[in-house]
Amino acid sequence: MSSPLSTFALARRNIGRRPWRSFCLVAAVVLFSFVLFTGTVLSLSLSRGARSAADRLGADVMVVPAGFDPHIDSVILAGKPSMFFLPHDILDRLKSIEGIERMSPQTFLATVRASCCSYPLQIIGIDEETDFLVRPWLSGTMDRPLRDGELIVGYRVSGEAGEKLHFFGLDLPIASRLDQTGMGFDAMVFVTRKTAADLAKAAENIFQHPLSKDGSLISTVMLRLRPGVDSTAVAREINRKMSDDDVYALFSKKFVSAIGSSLALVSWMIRGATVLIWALAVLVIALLFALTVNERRSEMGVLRALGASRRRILSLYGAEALLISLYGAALGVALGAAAAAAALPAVAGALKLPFLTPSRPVLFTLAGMALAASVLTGAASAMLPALKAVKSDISLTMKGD
Amino acid sequence: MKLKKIFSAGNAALGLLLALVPFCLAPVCSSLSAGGGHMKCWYSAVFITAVGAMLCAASLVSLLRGGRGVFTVLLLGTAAAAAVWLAPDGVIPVNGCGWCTAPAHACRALTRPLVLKAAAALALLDLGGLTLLFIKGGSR
Repeated sequence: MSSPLSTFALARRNIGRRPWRSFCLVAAVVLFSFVLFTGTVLSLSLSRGARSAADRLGADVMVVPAGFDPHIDSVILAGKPSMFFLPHDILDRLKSIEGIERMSPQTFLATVRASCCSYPLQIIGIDEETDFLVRPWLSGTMDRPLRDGELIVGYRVSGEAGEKLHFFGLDLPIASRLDQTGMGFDAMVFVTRKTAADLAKAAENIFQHPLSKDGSLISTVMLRLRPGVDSTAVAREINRKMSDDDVYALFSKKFVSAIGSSLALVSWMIRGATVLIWALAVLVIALLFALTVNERRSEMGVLRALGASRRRILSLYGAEALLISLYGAALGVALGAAAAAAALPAVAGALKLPFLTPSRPVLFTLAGMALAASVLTGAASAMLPALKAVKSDISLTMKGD
Repeated sequence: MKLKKIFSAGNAALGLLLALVPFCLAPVCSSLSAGGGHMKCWYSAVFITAVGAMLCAASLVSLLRGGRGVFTVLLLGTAAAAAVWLAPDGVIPVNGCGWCTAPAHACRALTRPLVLKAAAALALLDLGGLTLLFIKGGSR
């Protein structure tokens, strides 16, 4: 049991003697640690999402029907269900373009809300022989080709491998699940192009889908270029040759750089807010402690006259500041963790940017760092006025000057 | 002591409210899933009811003991608020828990908003209580 006159016991009594001031100090530290932790997690998740999109998007050029390029952004970033189709001979015509190493057609089929537990979902029919986009996200969990009638589900789609999902009256087994991509892929379902056509036929009693009449329809073609080939030049060449046929080629660097510029703005705003809150916290804590130290100058003088060293008095103030900062920082980081877990994906959804939450060890490290930074800020801000006060003469401090 | 009793009573009331929401005040979806079993929201309802009942019981014990053990109750209440908010939302993985995806479903339209409001009130009460105990604790 600690002595009632130990440094920390005295500090606890001092905290209780001025409840309103202590509350304001705790609130300042809570606010700072909350903003620091959530801001860092948001910023890191967005930059990881953008990096993941840039690194693993896979395609150098995406070919879509003219006028549908904004739709492909929302499909890839947000998984928004969309349907559009390219001319039939697109693959043959693209073969005449120089510099293409691989091309993979995809067919988009959007489901509808039909029954109690269904909701709109983007189904993407992939060409298993040529696909180079979906497989890198499987991280070795599926070492065989995707068969007709099977599904690969995105990270956020309900259901485990082996379970069946119900689409348009058909029960299709899940073959595997993708890793978290931070993009629209997380909310999509991937099937072979034949299965996509079969699903469209099965949906005929709900709605007429062009794919049910012609299973060879293609929504987009993803192109991977040979090393060293300029994607901008290839996209320009495709647009020059095929613009009359309502075909539009989009180079993914443009897409990624658009994400990058939005991200830079958001990151700048987060950093700005964090610095502002930090400055505010330092000011509030320093000001409140300066007031307290000023109030207690005579008490400090008496303690000095009774033989307490400057160090002892400083340690009393230090313990008080440390307890308040520790409590406030722990509370702020805990609140920040709950808010980050519950609200950040929704914030990222509203920002329409790729979002990839850091791993648990990284989150714990960030929490520890935010806690340390907040405690240090609180304690250091409080110690400045205390240091100044203990340096003054005993007779003056006893008079309260 | 009076303050401790107030916090114990507040936790007991909010625990009771949490326990009553999913099956009595704002019932979750009653229909069965395609496979014939209960839907995810039913398991969430059981989880929330259990957490609410446990909190209510612990708070009543503290109240009957004149507010003793209120610190534990406040910690339990904070954990309960986080659990009923984050587990059905899938942030904390609890087997079988979740809400239906369709926003029009009873569990999404009625139960979840009420549970979140109760959880927010509980978190506010308990974090305020913990802060007050921290500040006032030293003056005695």
